[in-house]
Amino acid sequence: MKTTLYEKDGSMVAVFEGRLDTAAAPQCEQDLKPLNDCTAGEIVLDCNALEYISSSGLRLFLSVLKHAKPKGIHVFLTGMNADLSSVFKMTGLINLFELR
Amino acid sequence: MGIRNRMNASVAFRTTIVVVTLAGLILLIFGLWQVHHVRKVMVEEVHRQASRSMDGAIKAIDDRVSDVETAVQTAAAYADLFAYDDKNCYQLLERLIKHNTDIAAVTLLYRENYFPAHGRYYAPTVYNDATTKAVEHDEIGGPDHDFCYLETDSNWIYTNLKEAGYWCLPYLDSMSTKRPMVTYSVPLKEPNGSIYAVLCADVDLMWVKTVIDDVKPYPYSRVSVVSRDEQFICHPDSSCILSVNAVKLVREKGNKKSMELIQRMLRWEKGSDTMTAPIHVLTDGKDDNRDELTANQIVYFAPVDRVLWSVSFSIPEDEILKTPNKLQRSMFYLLGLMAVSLSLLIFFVIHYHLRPLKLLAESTREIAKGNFDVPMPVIASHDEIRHLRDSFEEMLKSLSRYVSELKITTSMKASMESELKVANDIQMSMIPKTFPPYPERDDIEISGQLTPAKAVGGDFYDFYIRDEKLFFCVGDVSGKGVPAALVMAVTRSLFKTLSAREAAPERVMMQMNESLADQSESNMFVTMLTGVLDLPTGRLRICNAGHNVPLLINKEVETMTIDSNIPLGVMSDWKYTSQEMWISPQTIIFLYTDGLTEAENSDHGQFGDERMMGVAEQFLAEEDKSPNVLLERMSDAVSTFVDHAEQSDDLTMLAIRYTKEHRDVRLQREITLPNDVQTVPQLAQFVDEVCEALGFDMSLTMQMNLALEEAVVNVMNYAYPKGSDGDVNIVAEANDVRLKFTITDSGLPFDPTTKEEIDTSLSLEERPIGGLGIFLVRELMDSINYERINGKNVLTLRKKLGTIQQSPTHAL
Repeated sequence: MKTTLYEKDGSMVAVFEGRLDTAAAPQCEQDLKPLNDCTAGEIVLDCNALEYISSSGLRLFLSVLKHAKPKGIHVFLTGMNADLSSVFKMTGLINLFELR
Repeated sequence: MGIRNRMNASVAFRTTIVVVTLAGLILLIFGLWQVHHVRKVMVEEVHRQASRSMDGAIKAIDDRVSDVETAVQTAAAYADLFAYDDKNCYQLLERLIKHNTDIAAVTLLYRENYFPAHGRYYAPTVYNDATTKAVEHDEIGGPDHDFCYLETDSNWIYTNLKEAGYWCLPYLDSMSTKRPMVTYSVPLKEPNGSIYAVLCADVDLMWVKTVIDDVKPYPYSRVSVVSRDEQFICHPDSSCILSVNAVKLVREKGNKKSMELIQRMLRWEKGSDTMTAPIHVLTDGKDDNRDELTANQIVYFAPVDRVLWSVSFSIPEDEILKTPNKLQRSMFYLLGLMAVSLSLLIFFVIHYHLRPLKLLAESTREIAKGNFDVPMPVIASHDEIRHLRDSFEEMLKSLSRYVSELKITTSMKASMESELKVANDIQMSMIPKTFPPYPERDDIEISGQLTPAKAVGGDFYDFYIRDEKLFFCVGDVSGKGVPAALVMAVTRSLFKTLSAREAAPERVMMQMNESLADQSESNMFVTMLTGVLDLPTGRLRICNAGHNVPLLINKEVETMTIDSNIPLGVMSDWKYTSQEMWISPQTIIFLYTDGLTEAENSDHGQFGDERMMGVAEQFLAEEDKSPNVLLERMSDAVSTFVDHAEQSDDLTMLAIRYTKEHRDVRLQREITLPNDVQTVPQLAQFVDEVCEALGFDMSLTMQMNLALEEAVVNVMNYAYPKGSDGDVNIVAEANDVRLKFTITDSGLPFDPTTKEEIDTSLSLEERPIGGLGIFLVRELMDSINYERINGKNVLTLRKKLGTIQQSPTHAL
């Protein structure tokens, strides 16, 4: 599992690669910490290379959203494959994120 | 309309008939008695009158005859002054004839040769000349008139030289008048006693008829006088007078009775008799009146002793009874007239008086049609009809009151019935009614039946499968109707809610008992059986709260051995105990309420345990031992038993057959991990291998991965306290039907299936961060099942192979 953050046009982009399972979640959480410091712009969670996500990963995504939303920062999900999308749908989280 | 119908139809007509008939009968009897009486009085009166008349007649005749006797004897007394001289003797005769008007002629018959100058016979006579009315002298003796001395009865005295006066037999006047005559003769004697002459006075008897006619009792009476020589002196048929022998006449034309009469008369008796054809109606001629001859006549008769005549009257009985008969006839006319007028009068009077009754009847007919506003007829009189009318009005009032009360009662009853309907609806909506309920499952067959009684008891049953466990219950709320239905609804909700997070039936029951005991203000309680059948293993845990003990039916029928406990809602803090047993495949668990064993027939006999057991025993012989067949047999047996008796309690049955089949395991893999989440990739590796072996595609493999990770992480996080070490064993098994993961750990008892479900529709702010794990497992697997077995937590996840291709995730 590898998580990469970079800035692009004032937006923070987080790129996930591999399996975001319970074992990988603590590291990922650490990697995503900078997102909590964002004050403006938008956050894009790039899932093009994400193979798998468990409830621990979903919790991280939700945590990002919970931090960003009060600050008026939009959080976008991009590049989810059908299987990931179905997990988001199953849990109802898909309604909380904006898709791009 | 027949007379009988009319009689029945009209009181007036009937009463009239009865009254007139009775009155007519009474009057007729009185009338007949009256007529009889009048007749008797009349007859008596006739008798009296006739006797009086007879006495009068006899006296009158006797008087006249006596006068003649006296006159003649007086003349005889002083005859010697004149008789010795043939010229002076005329003075004697003249004096005599002038002295008595009845004497028509007087003759002095001298003895032969008494006056030689006058020849052998000398008979000076004087008589009243009918034409000149003067007294004429004559001499009928002498050579020219010798006839006087012939031996006829009239001068019988002369020839027989009788000493005293003598009345001769009557005779007809020798002159042209042919009047009936009689002669009274007295001898004249010389001083020496020798008879020298006879003084004869001829009496014309025409007066006899006149005298008797004067005194006869009725103008129509007939008169007859018979002399001692059986000749008529007087007779209605004048041709009979002194020409017909009375006895001979009667013998020829009369009868025995009239003969008797004439004989009595000639014996100079006095009396009366009734007969036909007495002498009075007999005539000499042939033209006798038939009617008169055959008519009854009353005859009165008496003698005149002086001359030996028998005087008689006849009175036709018809004439006497003419008046009474007329009276009788008038009476009949009168009676008829009375009957007719009385009939009309009574009929119209009754009809008039019963007219209000008719109006009343019309009003009543209106009332019978349901029109209670009809006015009652006004009746001015204060009689029974008025009473009837008043009573009727009273009745009408109470009737309309009753009807309005009835309406209220009926509507109340209707609302009550709709209430019962509501209760019934509540009851029926609460219970599962679709059978078989799990057609896709091959390990369980269920059939249930609830027959509500009319009054609706509080029976219920329920079942559902959660995490490969069948939760079922059967209960009976005390009481009936809506309250029972509501308590039943509450109980069932409690069962549903509590069992959603608790798989131990005794704990479910205890919590239910606390809730119900708190709420049970109406002292209602519930007997209930709650069971949890672990479908993968066949382990049954069951808790009884005072309910009927269920049957286990497999090779034989046996009663389940369980504690009874007390019903729910009776007492709080009761420690409910449950029993645990293993149900072998093909066993039927048969649950019921007392509505089955206490089903009553019309003789109040109960269906009873023995019959129920009997039906269950017979069921063993059935080829198809499915639960619905058992219920059908049981239901039929109860129906036959109770026949048509109405049941007071609901009848509830629930039959559960455990049909798990042992299948060949196609694939079995096992992995044991420490309780460290960092071993999740190893788990993923394990799952991938299993899925690959089963030929799962990427999506399904990912779903299996996700479900297993969530379940195992959950166990790792919660079963072992932080910092303690432990293992988690995962076994994957697959047969032709399904894939099963069994996750076993030996940590603290922890049932992840009791976690509350998360709400995926909440907003971001409301949404908790956690709780998604078990939710995802439920979503991804067909079932999740927790059992604590031998001090280990055993969590089983199942995925049916058949449904893999239609995984809902593919639709996204």
